[in-house]
Amino acid sequence: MMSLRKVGIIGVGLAPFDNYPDSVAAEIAFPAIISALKDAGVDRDQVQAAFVAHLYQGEVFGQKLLKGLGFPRLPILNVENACAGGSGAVHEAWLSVAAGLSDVVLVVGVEKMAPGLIKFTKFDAEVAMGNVAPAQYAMAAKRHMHDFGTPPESFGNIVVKSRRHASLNPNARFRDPVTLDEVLNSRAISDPITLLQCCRNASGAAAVVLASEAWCRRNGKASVWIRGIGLSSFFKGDPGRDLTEFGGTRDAAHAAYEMAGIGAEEVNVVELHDAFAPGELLHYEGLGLCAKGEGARLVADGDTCLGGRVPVNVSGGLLSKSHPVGATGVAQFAELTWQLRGSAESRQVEGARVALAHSQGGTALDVGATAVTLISRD
Amino acid sequence: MTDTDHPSDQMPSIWPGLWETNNRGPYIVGSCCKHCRTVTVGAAGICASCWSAAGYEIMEIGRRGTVYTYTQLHQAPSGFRTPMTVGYVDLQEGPRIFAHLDPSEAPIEIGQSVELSVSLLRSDADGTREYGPLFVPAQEQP
Repeated sequence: MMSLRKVGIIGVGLAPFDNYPDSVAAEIAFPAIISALKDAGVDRDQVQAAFVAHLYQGEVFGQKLLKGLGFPRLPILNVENACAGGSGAVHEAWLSVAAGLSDVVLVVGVEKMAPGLIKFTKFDAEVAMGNVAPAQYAMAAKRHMHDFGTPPESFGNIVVKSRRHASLNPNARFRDPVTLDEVLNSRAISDPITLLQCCRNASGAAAVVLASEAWCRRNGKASVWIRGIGLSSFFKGDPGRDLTEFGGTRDAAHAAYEMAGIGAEEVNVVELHDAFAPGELLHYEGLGLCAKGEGARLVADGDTCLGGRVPVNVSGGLLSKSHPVGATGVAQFAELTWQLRGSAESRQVEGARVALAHSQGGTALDVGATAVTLISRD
Repeated sequence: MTDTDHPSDQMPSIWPGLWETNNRGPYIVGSCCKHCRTVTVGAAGICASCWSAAGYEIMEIGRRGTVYTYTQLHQAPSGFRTPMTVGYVDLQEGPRIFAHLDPSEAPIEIGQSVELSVSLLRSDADGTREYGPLFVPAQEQP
């Protein structure tokens, strides 16, 4: 592999996810971009390239967005990878700095969405026959229950944990605690998934500024560092494919761990793609936080709660924050940067040194994309 | 193939080319590459395995299969009746497809042997009526 430069995250910003009925996408994103640049202490003229993730905002939206904030005519790439678009944009930005093309780059994830089920812009045969995202997660959950005896209460307890974490996060949208009974007895959506096990659509934005190690040193910037990053794809229709593997998580995680030279057991805090509660349990296994089939035990032992062995989604995750597609993956980097800086206040994971971000897109389609990134304090 | 192999005007297909029917009943349209013999459902102009453009022999597949997994949906896109049971069926010829399942005669279970029928899957107020694969538990389980 060519030699790659070390890349730091020097600034993050978030426009908390909500309905924003009276704002257009650019208006939602502006505060996130401005806070990320202020946090980084860089001016817009110092940004050498920008990577803008969105799914529904139309052609060259990134250019329209940054023109609206008076950026110079810098290289701008719009990135789409369904629900993993935000982390894909971080990947492209990282690569641009790591390869030495740029020293300071901006990543923006932004979405303006209507409520309801995610709308796919192109159908495939499954979608035409009524397949929807919750059904895909439910079918994987059913197979996991069949193969490993996973009880449906595991999925319910993931929501209880999510809301408990969200109650500590002023940026989360749903902050009221829920009980296991309330989760399991909420409206049935797709057996075993109930309403409270589903994330909501929302609008929102997040932004991060990346810089090379050399630039950070020259400019005296403190930073957290991207240590490993892996992208993978999955093609679902293959005969014999194990749906409990649930997308490309294992492949993407393997690539990220390999690049970082970091093992799963060294990870202190995780933000992962919990679009529906069973997804979180399946991704524990794909990320190697536990052995295959043991996700339920991780939940039962409280290992992934704040204060546990490896807290997962201390921000509240998608379940409690909602899911503005292009923004979701980028927002994970904001949360994990705060965690590694030790500035996450009452939801701080004590002593967090290594963090992992995971997102997955296209899960209800026949194919999809997964991204895993490892970040560390040193 | 004869003209009667195609879904009739009375039974428009929910996904054109996915299924057809003849005097032996409905089947899933399998495409067997003339060059490498790989069997797929929903083949494109070039074989995904060997890149041959030699074309396909149409095979009647999917009259029987095994339930890989399933779920019952209580909220569905417009035109579908809820609750509706859907799942992945491993066809006996290899490919796995997403399809509807019929729990009315016997409960659906993972590993169950199922038989293909074709049924009205989607009907809209605007008069749209679309038919597609609905698997039912087989009379004889293996």
